[in-house]
Amino acid sequence: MPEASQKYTFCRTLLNGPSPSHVRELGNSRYPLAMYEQGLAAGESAYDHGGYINIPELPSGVGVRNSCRPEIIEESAYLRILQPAGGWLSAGTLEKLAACAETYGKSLIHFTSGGTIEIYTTREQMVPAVRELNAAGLDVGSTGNDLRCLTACCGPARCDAALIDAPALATYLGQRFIDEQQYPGYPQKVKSGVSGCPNDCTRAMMQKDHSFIGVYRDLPQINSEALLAWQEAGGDLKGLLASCPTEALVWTGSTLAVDPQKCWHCMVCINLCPAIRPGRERGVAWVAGGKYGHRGPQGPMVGYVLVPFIPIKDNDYTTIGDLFGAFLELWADNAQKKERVGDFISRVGPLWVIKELGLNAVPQILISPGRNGF
Amino acid sequence: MPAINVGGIEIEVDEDGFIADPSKWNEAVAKALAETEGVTELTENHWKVVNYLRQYYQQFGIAPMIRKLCKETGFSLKEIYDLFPSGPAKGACKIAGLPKPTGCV
Repeated sequence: MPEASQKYTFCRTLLNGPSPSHVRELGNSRYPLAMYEQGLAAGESAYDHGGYINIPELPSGVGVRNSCRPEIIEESAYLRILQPAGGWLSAGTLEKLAACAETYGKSLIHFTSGGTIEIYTTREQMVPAVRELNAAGLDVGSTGNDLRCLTACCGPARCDAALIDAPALATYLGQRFIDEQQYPGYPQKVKSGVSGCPNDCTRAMMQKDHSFIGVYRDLPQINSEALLAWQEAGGDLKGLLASCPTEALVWTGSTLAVDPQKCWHCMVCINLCPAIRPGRERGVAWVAGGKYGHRGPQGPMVGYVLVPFIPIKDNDYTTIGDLFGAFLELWADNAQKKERVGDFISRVGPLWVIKELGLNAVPQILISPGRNGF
Repeated sequence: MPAINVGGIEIEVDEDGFIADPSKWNEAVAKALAETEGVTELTENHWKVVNYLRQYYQQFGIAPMIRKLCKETGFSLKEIYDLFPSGPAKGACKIAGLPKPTGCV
């Protein structure tokens, strides 16, 4: 932190303690710490709400936060970079990104909660900065009424629970719908996430308009020998049986079984016990309409399961891409201005959407909601 | 109010460069407005978009929705941006002599 900032009482308080400090990072960059201090002192942010700015050549991926204290900083313009699916950046790419933030920005990089990367810069520096980012294999987008950056969990590249290759699916959709991420032509934003299994570590079902979740259609696989070894090593069988949300785990006294009518194919027992592994018949559940936002008649909502199981063969994601593209067209043609996907589906009804997409509606989940939806 | 000069005639524009009185628009004005938006030459494709916007505006009194513009002209949004680098609203609508759109274009 620069010497001059010794007067920043509130910011200095946030530097105390052993854990990493965001103020240390801000202070080590050219971020105007006076703005943050102003906000802390006043009890509300010194930044005003922002908007989208018109930069020729960059229809999307640019924006601005306005300033309530123009004497400190007039405005804070930013570039929004599409993060590679899964959230990986090699050290080399990170260095190029850092060089870009150093040359064109405030020497600061922001990994946003929405799964993108932002560099604060100026309007004039944006086009040359994007040229440099492009040379590093990165690109901007994901602002305004467009398809937002597709986020994914790490998938099988780093996780044993992965049922599908989440980053591969996100990359496929990201590449197929790159124009939709870079040219804002929709009635409202559309967020999408891919999770490799029902644990849904990306929280896609609750915060993304579209989530693609890896699921298994058959039953969890129980390895009796491994189960015995797990029990001998102190595994809590009683706790395991009690953990099942649908009481589908049945202990006969010597063997463990899964009640196929009750099991709803979550991951609870699988997470708890290494002797239980996910089923082998794997595919994608498509959930549409989730959002955290309080705007719109429905407020925050969990999405609708539009298709509970889309089989995937040989890493071919064309069917999912076709459905996704068809839905986006249907929504964009029929949604009201600023209507998020969740509000749209609840207004027109999921059955109408399913019919318009040419899918067969299978209502057994409504007839017997506790039963196996597959 | 700022103005642009078209063949010796001053045409008033608003603070964002949109024409103040849409009835004063003509092809020469379009060319002058195009230059302010980085469009040096108005090709046949530019005119296709501009004429559609004018026709829609004259009929309905507003700018069309962006998707309607794309569907009716047959250009993708990307192609619209290629033609008008500052986009359908700030670029195309301005050149077509529409007032500054408030909606989705």
